Amino acid sequence: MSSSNPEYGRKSSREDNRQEQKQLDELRRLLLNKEQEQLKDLQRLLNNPELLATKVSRALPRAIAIRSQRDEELAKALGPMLEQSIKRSVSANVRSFANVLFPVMGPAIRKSIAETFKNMLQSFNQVVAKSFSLQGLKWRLEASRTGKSFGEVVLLHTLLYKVEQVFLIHRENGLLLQHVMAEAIVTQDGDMVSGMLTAIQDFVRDSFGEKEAEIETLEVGDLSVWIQQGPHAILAAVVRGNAPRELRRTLELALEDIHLEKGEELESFEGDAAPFETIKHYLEDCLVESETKEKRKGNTRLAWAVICAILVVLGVWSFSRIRSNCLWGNYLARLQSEPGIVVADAGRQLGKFYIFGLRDPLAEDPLELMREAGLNPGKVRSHWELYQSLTPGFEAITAYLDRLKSEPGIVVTAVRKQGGKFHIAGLRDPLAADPMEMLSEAKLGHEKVVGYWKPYQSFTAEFVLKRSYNILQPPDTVLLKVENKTLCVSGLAEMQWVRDTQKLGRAIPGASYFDETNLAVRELVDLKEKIEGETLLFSIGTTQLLAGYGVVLERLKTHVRNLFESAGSVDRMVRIEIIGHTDALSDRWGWEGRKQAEREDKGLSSGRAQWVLSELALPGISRSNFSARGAGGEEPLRAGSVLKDRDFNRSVSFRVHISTIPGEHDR
Amino acid sequence: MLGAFAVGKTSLVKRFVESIFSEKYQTTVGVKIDKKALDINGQQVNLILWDIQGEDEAQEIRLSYLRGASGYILVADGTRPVSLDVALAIHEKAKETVGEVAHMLVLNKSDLTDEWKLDDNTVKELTEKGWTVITTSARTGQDVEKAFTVLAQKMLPA
Repeated sequence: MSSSNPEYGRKSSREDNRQEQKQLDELRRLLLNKEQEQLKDLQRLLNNPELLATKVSRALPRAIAIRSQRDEELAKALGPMLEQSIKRSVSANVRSFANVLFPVMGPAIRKSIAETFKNMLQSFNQVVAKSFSLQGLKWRLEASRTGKSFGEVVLLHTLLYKVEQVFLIHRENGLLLQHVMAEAIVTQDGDMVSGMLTAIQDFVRDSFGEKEAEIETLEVGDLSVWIQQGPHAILAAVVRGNAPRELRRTLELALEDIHLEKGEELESFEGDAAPFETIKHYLEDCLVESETKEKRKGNTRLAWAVICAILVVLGVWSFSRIRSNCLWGNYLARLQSEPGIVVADAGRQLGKFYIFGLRDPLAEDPLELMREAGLNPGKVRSHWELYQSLTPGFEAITAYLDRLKSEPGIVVTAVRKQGGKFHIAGLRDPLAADPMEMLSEAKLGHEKVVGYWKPYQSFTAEFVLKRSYNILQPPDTVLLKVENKTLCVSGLAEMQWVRDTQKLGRAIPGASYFDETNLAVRELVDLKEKIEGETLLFSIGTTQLLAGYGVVLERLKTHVRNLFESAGSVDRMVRIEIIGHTDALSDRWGWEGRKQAEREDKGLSSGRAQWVLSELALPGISRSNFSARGAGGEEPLRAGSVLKDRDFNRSVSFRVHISTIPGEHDR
Repeated sequence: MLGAFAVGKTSLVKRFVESIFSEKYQTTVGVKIDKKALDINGQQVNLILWDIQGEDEAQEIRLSYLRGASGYILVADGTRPVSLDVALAIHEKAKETVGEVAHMLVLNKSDLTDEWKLDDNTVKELTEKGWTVITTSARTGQDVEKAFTVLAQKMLPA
């Protein structure tokens, strides 16, 4: 920034100018101090590469992401640089690069090889397909049986080999990590063999100048050593015979798995092989061999087994055919001799027996006879029409069955003739007639019929009644009746029997309801008669008992108490009607007087009855069981008009009503 | 086992180790593998010995055989001082190939006292430089076992 103006020569003016400049600077400092600081900071940042790199590194990933989203300029710009750096990295250290790629390259290469091999097999298929020989036919059969391609089968049959030993050797120092061998293989010390193997590889490499070359196979006569190289370990398989390329794949897979599982241990290996004990199974998986010879042996054995089986089946079949013919003849003869069975047609069709005919339902069962004859009814087509045979043997049994069917309490469920006997099964009420006794009526011998009777209870009214008599054992004064599933009991019986009947009568099978409305209880009837036989006499015009009737009242009280107690125990209801009487003195007066006397009589007789009621309504007996009314002179106990009769009519008499509790008879 | 031609490496090995390969290997492949089982403080140690063909004017040692070695024995013939120089030269080469690993020097043929050419001072100087030196005789078996044991002890982690 310019600090002076040459146009002004004067000192004052210059000083002024300087002063002005100073002030301006001051102002600028005051106003823009912060911004100036920031500018300085920015300058410092731009001048310092270290600082700049740190700042840029923060924005770089984001910047790359944004740019590569927009277009491909960045990729184009970086392409040559990346190529250059990869080239340099590979040339600097081939091995470490190979190590990184090893797990990826293996499967990729294998896949491509497999594809090529498949194509080769297909063309091979076409070539072999044209050669039509017995062997070819056999292999073709095998291919279709096992689902393999024909070419594969051919290869399998031409390859015979066995992996005898597998060594896992550390690549760096040639030490043996693991060693497995097939059964019955005599071997040298594995440690030394593996060392020598490594030495030989080194020797070959050194001698022929191929520094990175790997030995894949060593061959001596029938024996070869297949060597599979890995980044840290080598798998060497000792193979006798002509092994297929597949074996290489097996070795590759095993070595890859081992590297995957024991990568770290391999890298840091210092001589202790113990950790590699656990990967022994990978090596054992490599101990493969072709089993062609054994297979062939197995096949001939199988063929012999098939032939033997066919012979056995044939033998069994012809034996069973002869036997079944024989049994069939016997069966037909048996059927023809059987009454009630007529064979219409029988024979053999498409290797299966058939038989058609007529059969009386009471004749022997042809299927049962077939079983007895040793034939399987499932293998014979049978058809039997039912008919009624008129042979004498069947008339008697038919009559007997009709008789049984008409007999109450007997139900016939099945009839079968077997072994010359009729087997009759059914149900029989124990109270029904004995079916065996009926045999003689039907003129059938006991030896001809076997009965299987299951006891059951018939629910017909007849049997329910019989059963009721059996169970209840009623006295002669009682009558039992069964109507509409109801057991009705009527007549007169002792209290004990009534009580029992009330329990048992409700439990008789076949009787759903129990009705005892018309059953009188002897003890109650006696008490009723006793009470009704008593009369209480009163003095004239009063409600006071005549002298000496206090005793009668007491007796009455006893009877009443007994009656209520007994009635309660047999579910009977009692109502006592108390009737008051007068001697009807109103006869002596005129009509008006008579009216008056009548009213008075009614009042007096009612008063007498009410008084007696109050006496008889003992504690524990409800008043509602009594009724009291005054009859006046309208219901004289004695019609006579002599004084004695009149005395008798000044009284209280009783009527007793006994009934069952309504609704109680329902079960 | 490293050393000049005919210092007795094979004889040392032959005397005390089990072997399945013939000596022919050495002249053909340049190395013969043998095994020596040792008991070090109750621990079983298998030494896999690479008996490498001796170096002379015609034949340089195959250093690739050294790759992965845990240790080596340099063998010199006490009757031929030049073999000691060869051994020390090999040692330098070996160091380049495998780095610092367990090693020791064996002066063989101690039974030939009349022809012994190495003076005690030489040995003393080497010992002062940190070398482990053992004098052996493959013929009498003197200290052969000891030599292998000492190497094994050096190789085992402390």
